[in-house]
Amino acid sequence: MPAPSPAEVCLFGGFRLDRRIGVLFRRDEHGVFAPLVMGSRALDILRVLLERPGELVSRAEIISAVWSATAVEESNLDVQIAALRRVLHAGRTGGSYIQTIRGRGYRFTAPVARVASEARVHGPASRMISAPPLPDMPSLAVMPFQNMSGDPEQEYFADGVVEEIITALSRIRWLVVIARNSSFTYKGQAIDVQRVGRELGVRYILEGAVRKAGGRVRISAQLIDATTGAHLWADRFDGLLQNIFELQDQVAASVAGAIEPTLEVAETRRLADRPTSDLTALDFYLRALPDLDAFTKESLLRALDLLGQAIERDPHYGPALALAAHCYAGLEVNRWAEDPDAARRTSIDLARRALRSAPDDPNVLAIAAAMLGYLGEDIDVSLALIDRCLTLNPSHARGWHWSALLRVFAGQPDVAIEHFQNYLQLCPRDRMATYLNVIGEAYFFSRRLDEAVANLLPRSTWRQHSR
Amino acid sequence: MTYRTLASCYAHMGRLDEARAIVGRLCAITPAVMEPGTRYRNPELRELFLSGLRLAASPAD
Repeated sequence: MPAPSPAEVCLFGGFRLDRRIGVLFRRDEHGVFAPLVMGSRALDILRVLLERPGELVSRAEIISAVWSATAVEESNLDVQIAALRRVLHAGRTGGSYIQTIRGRGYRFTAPVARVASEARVHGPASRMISAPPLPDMPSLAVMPFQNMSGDPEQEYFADGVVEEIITALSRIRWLVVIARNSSFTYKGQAIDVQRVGRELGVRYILEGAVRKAGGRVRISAQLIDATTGAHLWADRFDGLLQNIFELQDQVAASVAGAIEPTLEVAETRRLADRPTSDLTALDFYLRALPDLDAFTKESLLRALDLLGQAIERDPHYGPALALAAHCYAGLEVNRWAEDPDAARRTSIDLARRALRSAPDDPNVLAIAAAMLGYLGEDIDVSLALIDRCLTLNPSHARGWHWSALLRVFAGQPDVAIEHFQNYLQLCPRDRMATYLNVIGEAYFFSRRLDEAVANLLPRSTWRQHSR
Repeated sequence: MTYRTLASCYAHMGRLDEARAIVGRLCAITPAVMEPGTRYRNPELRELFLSGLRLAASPAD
């Protein structure tokens, strides 16, 4: 993770800490950030904790950072932590943002997104009222790329490439990237970029094409300013099929560079090692993705067949293991499995193998967290995994969705509602989809029954957790 | 799964007819209307879910 630069804004939960002016803001019910009144010591402590979210920060470290040269009673720290918690947790019933590690220190538990403050000049342009408010950051939607391979059967490959580019882009902390579930609703349509920009609430649109032939891949892409329709940048990336991961990362880095040349894009570098070096395994994996989307009994069984072949070729292929865990959990939860107990055990086993193979892959973390949580394993483990996913990749839309689901299971409906709203910001088109029942359940457990009915009723469906 | 939450929700709102109608739709899909609700780890919230569902699944007088 890059070291935080001093000129930056931190976003977590419904809060925003502007480090330059030293003010903490809370998002109100209208989505507006309002400044909070709090003491400077408490603010300093928050600053120290936010520098290393998810990590243990010792009492000694906090004291020396906040009180520097002054000799201070340790009890002052307890007082300030209590004050800070009062501010952060006012009106909140979920778990604490600040976890006490008895006798040692504290850990900031919520995912934190960092925004370079320079990026704020590029706020999203005028949006339709129906579009959700986006954070004050440049925002981008990646449209489905055209399959130029001359073989409609290669469609899955073009879609897979786009999914990987979206993943690479979503690692960039100052960029909001709309999830594939939303941008792919435009698949097969003639794209009016200005309309799409309004509907998704984004400033930038990326379009492109993929051609795969004879062991080579060509990706062409162009970036468009959706507010004006102006073409900002276009480029072509050629390479060997075996270098597909590097090629996808290059596209992402170039797009980011075109949007904001002055900002760091180190994050597009893969956090984990390349997921597999076996191209045949990759091909099986990509072919399984559409079957995961369909999420029927037959499609899940087909996906498992493809993923099984991928895993046979590369037994440490984390994303394939995680998807297979998802398939088995889907069969179990929907009662499609002939032996539900075996499906459950296999899913748990695959999720754990996926975590061992790719412990830093946000997507693997998210899927494993959700499946383990769904199947009744230790909920605190799932929460830690999903928080780690969102710390590594704050634009991971499905991660926010699953975090909301896991918070419902954990008995933290208010946090669930918050995280679900983050999900909707990243996946605005999904407001029409089945996922809404997660927020419906959250409202139910918050005893906001009218809102629960409104979200559970119209789209009630058995397909609880499709991709 | 969603049907069960919805049925429980209606029951807690006192809208028992609607709750029973949802249970009827549930019966068309699965014979198992009641479930342990173990994915909800908090016992108090689990009971909120289950008590509503029991009410929804109870026959009309």
